[in-house]
Amino acid sequence: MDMEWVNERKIRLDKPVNELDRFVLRFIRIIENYVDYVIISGYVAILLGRSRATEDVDLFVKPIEKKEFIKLYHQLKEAGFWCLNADDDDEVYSYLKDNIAIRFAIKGQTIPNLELKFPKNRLDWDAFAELIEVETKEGVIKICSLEKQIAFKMFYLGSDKDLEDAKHLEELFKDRLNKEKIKKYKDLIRVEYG
Amino acid sequence: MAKLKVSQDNRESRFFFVAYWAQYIKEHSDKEWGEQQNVLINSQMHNAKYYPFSPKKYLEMKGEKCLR
Repeated sequence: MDMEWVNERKIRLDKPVNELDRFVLRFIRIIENYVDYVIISGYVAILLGRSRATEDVDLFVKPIEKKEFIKLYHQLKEAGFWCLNADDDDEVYSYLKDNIAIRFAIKGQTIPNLELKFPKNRLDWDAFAELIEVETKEGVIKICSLEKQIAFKMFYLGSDKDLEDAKHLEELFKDRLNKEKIKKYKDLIRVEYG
Repeated sequence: MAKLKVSQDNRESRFFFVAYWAQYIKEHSDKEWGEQQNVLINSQMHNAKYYPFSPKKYLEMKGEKCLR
């Protein structure tokens, strides 16, 4: 395995970049000029080798003012993306402001799409505090911590697909994972979501 | 590398495969496992272009609102 931990917060990947990675990189190269982001959910396991595909890639972005968001939205449109939920600037922003996720895809397609949302609670915000940078051959992708990812998959989402994603990360990184941290997230998930 | 375990139970078999694949990644170069993973992912990306649903229909299936 060439996958290498450069430090506690950075992984270097030597794998050939695939079309899904390129789709994600193309999107985040634009949004990171406007706002901090962190990728959560299934794509994290896929980026780190899991043998499955996905139709959506979830990410948090920090709350952003409307004026700035509209600039970002226009740049995404110029780059060939469309928002599946709405077209109008005000309507697209109103989704986010109301804490509803919006989805972006390549214009004319619906999948794959990137599902973008503002963080709502402490657990969501934690994703930014403990993010990991994954350095691919074509750019850096920021993902949430592996412990948080595993805890959410195991103790909140819980479908077979999620449990398999969690197992993949556990098996691959068994020597590096902080089990106490997984337990901490498990407890926080119980408090936040019951 | 250990052999892939099999089970009569589909769910269990899938979990065995996840563990087997993680071990494969550990024992092979990123280039080797990446090329295999990319066959699966790139084919989905190719097929996505022919996915027939409009944003409205897709979001309806997801239980989400569409203002388009």
